[in-house]
Parts: sequence; structure tokens; C-alpha cells
Amino acid sequence: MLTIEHLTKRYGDKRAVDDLSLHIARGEICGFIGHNGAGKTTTIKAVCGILGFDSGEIYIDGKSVNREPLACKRRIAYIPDNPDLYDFLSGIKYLNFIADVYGVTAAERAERIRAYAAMFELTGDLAQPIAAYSHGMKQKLALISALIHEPELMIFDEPFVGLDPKAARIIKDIMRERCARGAAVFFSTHVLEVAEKLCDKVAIIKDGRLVAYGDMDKVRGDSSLETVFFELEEGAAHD
Amino acid sequence: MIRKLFVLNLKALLSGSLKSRSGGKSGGGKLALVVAVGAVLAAMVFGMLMVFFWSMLAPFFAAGIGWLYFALLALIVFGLNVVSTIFSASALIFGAKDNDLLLAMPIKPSVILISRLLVLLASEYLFALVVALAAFIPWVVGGYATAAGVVYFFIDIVLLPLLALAISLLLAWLLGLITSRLRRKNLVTLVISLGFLFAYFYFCFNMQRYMQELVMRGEEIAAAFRTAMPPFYAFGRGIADAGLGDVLHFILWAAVPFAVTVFLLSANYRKILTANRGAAKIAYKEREAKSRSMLAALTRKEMAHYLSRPMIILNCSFGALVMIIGAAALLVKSDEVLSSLAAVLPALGGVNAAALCAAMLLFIISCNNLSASLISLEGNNLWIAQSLPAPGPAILMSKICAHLLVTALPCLFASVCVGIAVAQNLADWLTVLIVPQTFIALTAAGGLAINLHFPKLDWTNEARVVKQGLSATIAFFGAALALIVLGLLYGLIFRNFISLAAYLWLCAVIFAAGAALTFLWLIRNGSRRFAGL
Repeated sequence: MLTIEHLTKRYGDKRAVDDLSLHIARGEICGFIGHNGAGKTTTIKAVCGILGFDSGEIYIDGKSVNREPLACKRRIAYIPDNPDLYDFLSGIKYLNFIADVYGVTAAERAERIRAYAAMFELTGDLAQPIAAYSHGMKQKLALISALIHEPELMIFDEPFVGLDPKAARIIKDIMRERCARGAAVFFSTHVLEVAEKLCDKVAIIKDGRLVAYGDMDKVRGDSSLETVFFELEEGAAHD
Repeated sequence: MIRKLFVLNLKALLSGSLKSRSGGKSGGGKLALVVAVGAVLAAMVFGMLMVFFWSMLAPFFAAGIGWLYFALLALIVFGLNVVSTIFSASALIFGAKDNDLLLAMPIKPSVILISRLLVLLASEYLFALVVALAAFIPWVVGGYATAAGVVYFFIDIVLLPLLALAISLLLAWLLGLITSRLRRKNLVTLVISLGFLFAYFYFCFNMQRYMQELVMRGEEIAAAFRTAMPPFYAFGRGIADAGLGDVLHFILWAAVPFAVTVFLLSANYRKILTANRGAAKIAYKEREAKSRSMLAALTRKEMAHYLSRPMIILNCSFGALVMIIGAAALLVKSDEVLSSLAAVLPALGGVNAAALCAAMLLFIISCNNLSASLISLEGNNLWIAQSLPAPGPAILMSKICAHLLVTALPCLFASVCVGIAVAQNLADWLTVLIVPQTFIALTAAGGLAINLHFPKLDWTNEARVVKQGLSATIAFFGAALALIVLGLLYGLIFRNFISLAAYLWLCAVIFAAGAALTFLWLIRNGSRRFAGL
């Protein structure tokens, strides 16, 4: 579903992402782990077609992000780590706007908005302006807007930040359910326990380079993901 | 700390003009452009005011009401400061995005307040400087100045913005208080703001008549002035008659309201910023969903943003408001307008009335510069537009559509009203209907192209984009300057060869060609530039 080949992105002299390659198949959930400034958000933004890159290729369902950006964007849903939404719209107007841009029919959007808003307990607030929403409510609205067009690849940057436990549980269930139906999920997180329990694959990035990547069981081995992560961090520091 | 916060606010104010998006320092070219735009703007205002003050100097001093010369100076500075600061005060003092961040820091709320007040004061002093110099030079050159008067002039002019700022703060706070509980707060804010603006412009447009009445009924009006506006009377008397008592009187008028306002605000600043005034919750009722085209959805989003902010409506589409109100007034008072036109036309060499109205519409259109702010207004929301499967040209086109809705429709209404009032034949109708629309197309596309070159996305309040953004400034004054140049070209050269109507059609062809070329650039290069922001 997602293939990244030798992705390199520079900011001036600094290589924010350096020769990064990975592949996520349909039905897989891949966690993306690294310290702050390691290159996670840069990679994610490049995958979503928001940020250009210097070399390499990114394919979504076999289509190049560079050559067919719109076809790729139609297949994905992206939520940044701090979703700033249009605070001059109400929740329902924002969802309708997103549905219009993705070409979701009136009947489909009505059904999905009803279901997801009830699931996230946001129905009663849909008429409120987004400016009146709390951070968690904005996060929930962003999640509903991301799901409204039934994306094949969900890309989330720190999706659990600001969510209450129930909403966090729901989003994990949705990830699994979407993957069971052939979609894929690529998300960054600092919560290693969540990644360990939820992900089929894990990619660990340090200073722009992928230092570990593969099936969760293989990367983790007999120890915990946390132990592996800190060993890699320390190992890289000794190098 | 005050100095640090002041510098921070000032940097935020200037960052859109002087820094690149990546945060690096700008090149000399951009800085030169900012300086040039500022200089042209200041020179234009300065020139107009200087002519105004020169015309008043001798008659007023000869009539023994020299104080009125300075009282009017004070009134102009005060009016300009209040009108220009009220929205900035509302946005910067009460609605800044970094309120929570700063309140969480070990900084006294009063320090945050004062650092922001200093930024507002700095902009007020800029206005005051331009107006004060335009009055000061004729006064000194005309030989009416005294040494003590000059000293008092500087003391008073330094204090005057304090009074204006106190009133602006009060009005901005009242505006926020009144509208916070209302469902239609945007509409109410817009109506109140328009009331202020039109009252101010009404006063300015009638200045000439007031001047004539002043000269004829000087003592009578001066007495009224003295009673109704004592601070301005004290201001004028203190300078013209070098009266220390009047100067002290004015110092009290300026300093006391300012001190009281600042004291009350700083004592309650945290409470004001964190007050939840409990706007009523809007109940959600599911309605039948409707799907729209992508362009319609994007345009509706732009319009929702525009309509949600009275500050954007007033600053980016003042021309549209003038066109709607002016056109309605034209229908109601067409006899008076036609007789005024009949009086003016012979002095202009008997130009066609419809052509003259079309030319006036062009100037009003130049006050609408919405498209020059629409990319900057995306701010932190830019990720949404960039991650959506919407082609760049569609996103840019939606911004053009918003500009056209806000400008072309009111203009069409105004053109029809003008046509009903003055058109004599089909050619007149076509002139008032088509020529302005070509200019609208050019300003819509041109504004967007300018904003793509000078985007400011890291703002903390929208007023900085709309009121102080380089892109909005260039678009506004660029359009006005272009029309002035075209007007001068006609007055000095072309009027000898062709009629005004023919000249306007020539301009329309140029506008249309310019608009077409800019549209092409937007589609080919603009969308790439947008994607790279």
C-alpha cells in the first residue's frame, strides 16, 4: 500500500530524512518511532504530498506521490500532530467541506457522520463553531474527517495525543477494523506500549536514518520495544 | 521583560514584511520594496494633508481662531488613530493567539498588556507624525509659530495618541462585551464598525463645507467646539496662544483617561482574557446532506471565513460596502446626485456622465483587496488545503471566486443603479457594466499573485495579515496608484485625442489582457508556488 524508496529530504545542509526505505502492505499497521526531531513528521508530510523531497520515491498503491499527487491524496487520510482546523466553520460544516472535496455522496456522508460522531460522542457539538472546541474535540473531529472518505491508507502523526481513553480505544479499534478490510495504517507515536500492542510492523528513525525496521516480533525479539528503542538510541550515540 | 515582549510583538508585526517563510533574513530587494511602499503611502497622505493645512492657515489666524487650526489637527490625528487602532486593539490586546502561552509564563499580566500597548502606540505615533508634520511645516514656514508654541506642539502631539488609545481600548472592549453573548455577533460587530467608519468618512468628506462655515461663523462654532470638545480646544489654544494653562489642561485630558484605562485593564487583564462569557450552545439537528462540487466547496469555505470576520469584511472589501450603500443612495437621491454631476461635468470638459461614474467605480473597486490576503489567511490551516486531493488551480480559483463574489456582485448592482440614473444609450450601459468588471478581474488575479509572492502564514492574529500585511498593502496602493497614473495620463495627454469613455474602453482592454495573463500565470506557476509554501 505504501512504499518509500531511498527518501532523502534536506533542510539546507541538514539531512532531515536520509535514504529512508520501507514498505507497508495492505492490512498492516506500522508504527513510526523516534525522538523529537528525528525526521518522523518530515517523512509523514512527504508521504502525504505536503512536503517536497530531494531524492527517492514514494508510492501509494503503486502510484507516485510526485507524478500523481491527487490520485495518492484521494487514497489517504492524514492527521497532523496538532490539527488546526478551520475555526470559523462549525463541526458539521467542516465535515461536509471535507466530504465535498473527496466527492463523498450525500447518503454516504450522512451515514458515516452519524456513525462516527456517535462513536466519538461528538454529535451534540457538531453545530458548534470549531473555535469553541477543546483540543480533544478537534482531534476527534479531525479523525472523523479523516475517515469520512473510507481511506485506503491512514497516516497519523501522534494520533493519541489529547484523546480521552475511550476515544483512544475507539481509534485503535478503527485502525484494526480498517486494516481487516484491506486498508493500511502508518502512524508516529512516542507511546511505545501502544505501538507494541497495536502494530504489525515498526520503523525506528534516528537523525533521519532508519535504524530498525520490520515485523514487530522480529525487531523486538525477546525484549520489549522500549528496551530495543533505548538500545538503538544508545548504540547510535556510541557510534 | 516589557522590552522583550515589545520587541517580540514588533518582530511579529514586521516578520511578514522583512523575513522569508523559512525564517531567514530577507534580501535587500524585499526590504527596499517595503520601504518604497511605506514612503509612497506616507508621501501621498502627507501631500494631501499639507495642502489642506496650507489652505486653512492664513484664514484661521487672520480671523483670530488660530487654535482651531491645531484643534483640527488633533481631531484628524485622534480620528485616524481611533479608526485605525480599534480592530488592532481588539485583536492584539483581547484576542491574540498567544494569550494562554504568555499567561502561563511567570510574567505579570500587566506586563503583557503594556508590551502590547506599546506596539499599538508605536503605530499611532507613525500616523501622528505624518499628520503633525503636515500641519507643523506650514505653521512654521507661514511665520505664525512661537518658540513656546513649538515646545507645546511637541508635548501635545506626543500625548495625543494616549487619549486616542484609551478611547480605542474602551471601544474595543465594549465591542467585545456587547457581541460576546450575541448569536449574530459578526453582523452586530460589522454594523457598529460601519457606523464608526461612515461617521468618520462623513466628517472627512464634509470637511470643506465645515471649513467654509467655520470661516463664516467662526466665533459661534468655536464656542460650540470649546464646549463640546474641550480636549481639542485645550490642545489648539495651548499651541496657538502658547498658553501653559491650556497645555496642562490637555495633559490632564490625555494622561488621566489613559492612566485610568491602563490601570483598570491591567488590574483585570487576566480575568478579561480568560472570561468565558457563556455564548449559548447551538443545538445540532441533523439535516438532509447535500453534496457540492469541489470548487463550490472550496469557495464556500473562503466565503465562510470572510463572513465570519467583520475585520476582514471592513478592511478587505470596504469598496463593496461603499458600492452597495452608494448605489442605494443613488437610487434614493438620484435628483441631487444628477444635479451635482451636472454642475461638475462642465468643469471636467463635458465628459460623459456614465464614463465619469465608471471611472469613479474603478477607484472604489481598488479598495477591495480580499484576494491579496486569502493565502496568508490560511495560516496554520494550510496543511488542510495542501493535503486535500484538490488541484492547485482549483484552490486558487476558489480564492478568485470569493474575491469576485465580494466585489463583482456589488459592483454589478452599483453599475445597474448608475446605469438607471445616468445612462443615455446602450454604449453608456456597456461602459458602466463592463469596464469596472475588467478591473475587478485584474485586481482579483493580481492580488492573489501578489499574495503568492509575499505570503505571511505565521501570524498570531489576522489583523496583521489584513491590515499590515505587505501583500495587502501592495495590492491596495498598487491598484490606487495605477488608477492615478491612468487618470493623469488621460488628463494630461489622452483627453486631447479621445473621449473619456473611449479611454476607459482602452483601459478595459489592458485590464482584461493583464487579468488573462495573470490567470495563466496562476494556473501554470501559481499552483506550484502554493504547493511549495
